[in-house]
Amino acid sequence: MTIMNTPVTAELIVPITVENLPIVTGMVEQSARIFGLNNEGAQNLGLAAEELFSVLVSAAGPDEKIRIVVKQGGYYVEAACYFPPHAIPITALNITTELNPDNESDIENLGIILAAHVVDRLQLVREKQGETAIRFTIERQYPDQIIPFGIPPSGHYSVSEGGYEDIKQFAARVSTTYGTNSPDFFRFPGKVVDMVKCQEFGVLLALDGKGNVGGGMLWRWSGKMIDSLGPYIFTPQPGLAEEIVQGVLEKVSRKGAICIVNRMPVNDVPRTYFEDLIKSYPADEIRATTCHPPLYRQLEEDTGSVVYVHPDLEPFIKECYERLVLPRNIVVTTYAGEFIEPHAAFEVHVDKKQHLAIISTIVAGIDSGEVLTGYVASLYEEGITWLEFELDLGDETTPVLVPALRAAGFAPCYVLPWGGMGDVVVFEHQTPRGP
Amino acid sequence: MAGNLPLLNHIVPPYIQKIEAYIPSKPDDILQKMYNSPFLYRMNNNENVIGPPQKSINAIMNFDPERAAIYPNGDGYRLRHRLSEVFGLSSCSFIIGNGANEVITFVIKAFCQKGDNIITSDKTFKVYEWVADFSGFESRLVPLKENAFDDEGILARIDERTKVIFICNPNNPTGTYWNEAKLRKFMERVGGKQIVVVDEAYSEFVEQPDYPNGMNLIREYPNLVVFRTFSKMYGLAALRIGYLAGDRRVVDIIRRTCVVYSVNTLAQEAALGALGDDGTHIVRSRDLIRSSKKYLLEELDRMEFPYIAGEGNFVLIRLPISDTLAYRRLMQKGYMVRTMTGFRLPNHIRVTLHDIPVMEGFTTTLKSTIS
Repeated sequence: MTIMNTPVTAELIVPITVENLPIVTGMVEQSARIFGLNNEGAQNLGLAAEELFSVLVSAAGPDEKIRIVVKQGGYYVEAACYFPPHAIPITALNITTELNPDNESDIENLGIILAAHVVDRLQLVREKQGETAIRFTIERQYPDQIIPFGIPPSGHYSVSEGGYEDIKQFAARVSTTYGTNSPDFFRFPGKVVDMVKCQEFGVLLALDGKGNVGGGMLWRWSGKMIDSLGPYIFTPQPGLAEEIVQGVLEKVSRKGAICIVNRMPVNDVPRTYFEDLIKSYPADEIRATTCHPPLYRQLEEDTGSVVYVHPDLEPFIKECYERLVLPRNIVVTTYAGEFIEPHAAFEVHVDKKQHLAIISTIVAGIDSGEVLTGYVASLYEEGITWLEFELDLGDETTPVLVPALRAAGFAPCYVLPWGGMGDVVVFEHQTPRGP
Repeated sequence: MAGNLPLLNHIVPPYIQKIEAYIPSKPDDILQKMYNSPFLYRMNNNENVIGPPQKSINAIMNFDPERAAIYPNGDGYRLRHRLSEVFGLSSCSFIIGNGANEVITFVIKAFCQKGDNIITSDKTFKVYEWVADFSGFESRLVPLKENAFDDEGILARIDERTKVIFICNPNNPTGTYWNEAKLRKFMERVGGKQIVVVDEAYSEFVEQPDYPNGMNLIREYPNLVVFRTFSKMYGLAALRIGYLAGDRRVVDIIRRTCVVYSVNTLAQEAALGALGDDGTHIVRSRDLIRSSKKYLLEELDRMEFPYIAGEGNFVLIRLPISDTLAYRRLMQKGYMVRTMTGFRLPNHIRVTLHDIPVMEGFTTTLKSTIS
């Protein structure tokens, strides 16, 4: 097996002209094959790039170029397409919106919508100064390989990173012990090994030196935040959970992350290392029944920030900050007739196993309410029962979304400090339906 | 914008891409306002609450503002000569830096090249590791053993690419120290193959008779480099001035990487004043630290909070909650402490010792906010 310490990439820069279409498609397909995708996956990634390129051809100027970077991410292959920001209509990114065949712009955007459906993930990245990119990602296929393990023997377990076989055993034990209280990918031990190998994830295990794994944690770097899972504990050694958490915190400190969050806390999490983001008793009945608050902890001293808040949200935000003792300058924003983008676009992360979908903002627009309502309906139809919206308070363009969120049935649950550009308010949808 | 932003991923070295910039804290008045604190006691940076010695204060007060227009002496000529008198070493054995941070950089740049490594501890002053990382060198971190630098562990990690070993003595933040016998034994075992830096930033606070004065060992061990600072005991942190000392042949190499003129005239003169103190300042400071440490430890015992209290003007406290949450709660009440997650000691805070009335307020607040 090849050890992937650094990502391998292939890069192409060509003018956005129709004659370069086969070059783009061929380069992405070939690279994807070399980087480990099977034939179907490679063709789908090529198709996604082709569809995007076709849309760009109609909007790009004669001298404009596209830069395509195909990256081997270990457990996935990503094609990142960098292009001029004006070359793509924003409505093209609302991938769950139904198409109207009579609408000309819908037909033009069909390519992006098709592209979105053949890849596992699509992400638009817009930087204020710099490039705009769409990243298409397809994950490698792994065998569902759960070997049933019994309770590991008692003994002295100590914390270390472990080897690849230890990681596989860890993944299998998590999946069999915690079932639906753990993410779906633990069903694929080989995938978890590749997630760690490519250095996007970190792992810390409790090992007895005799080939047994007594517990562990997995975490992922996510901007300024670290998303963690566990500690998952398979043996009743006193203090083991604390030892694992302590070890993880030691590993991730001094690495630039501001905070660590555990969105699926299990009973084994030692609470003394974390903070609750909601009151220990519910503020109201609605929140009590629908909030899924994560456990949270800062890794650095909080020296304050500015947040932009819609007036309707101000009392809720103030209450959160007072309770969490967070120093924030709250700027209440009111609409004063300034230009707002006509069309909104949102990004959706779906976890089918958890029936969970998290929506966040790409662009706040005048049609936000309509688009959000469309998303909600579409996601429920796909079997989602737990629907969240993350509103970034560090982005001054997003407060205008609050009335649309309320109208679409979302209510604020908690503040996730430093969860985005700034703090994030997590809304949950209030009328869940059965799967 | 007239030009294009360069493709940063193409021009930035991979080891820089991996690093996040260190963001210093906001100014006190802004923090106090943000936290709505009634007052603010700085208990986070191990500054000397007594302030500078009187002769340093005189030097600062008598500084002619018109001299601000004139460049400082480029290598601290007078200060090096004064240090030479104090420690009995050649003036060429000293390099003055803009705080100890700068001399750390000088040493690493002088001895390390691509593929080399430095060794230090995992739970110590982070600048050794930080400078190595952003310079593209490996930093090998040996876990503390019983809260102290692990000599055997360090020796085991040395290889042919190890160039510099950093020992913080006493260690920040645990306050543990190597005595003279242990340091000598370690130097013998290293055998001159690596540069051993002993950072003595807190040495003036140590009262233990077996604590080694690194300056006295330089003649015996030419690979020994000693760091000292005027920021801690001498209360000149705002002026940023520190120095290193070593065998003049070693220091001659380090000097090649120095950014000269980095230490301003006011700092040099205040440091000269500090060296002219008759010892009163150190005695007063030690008295204060001794009494406030005794008070704090008794209170911590009463509260049943575990602690590590070694040498230095600080105490490390283990809390039953997240240290970053404790920081926010204490800030709101006017006490700024240092969280220790960044030192790989989660749920610990490091507290700089103040006089008793401040420590009384702090312990009362700690009790109420943590419980």
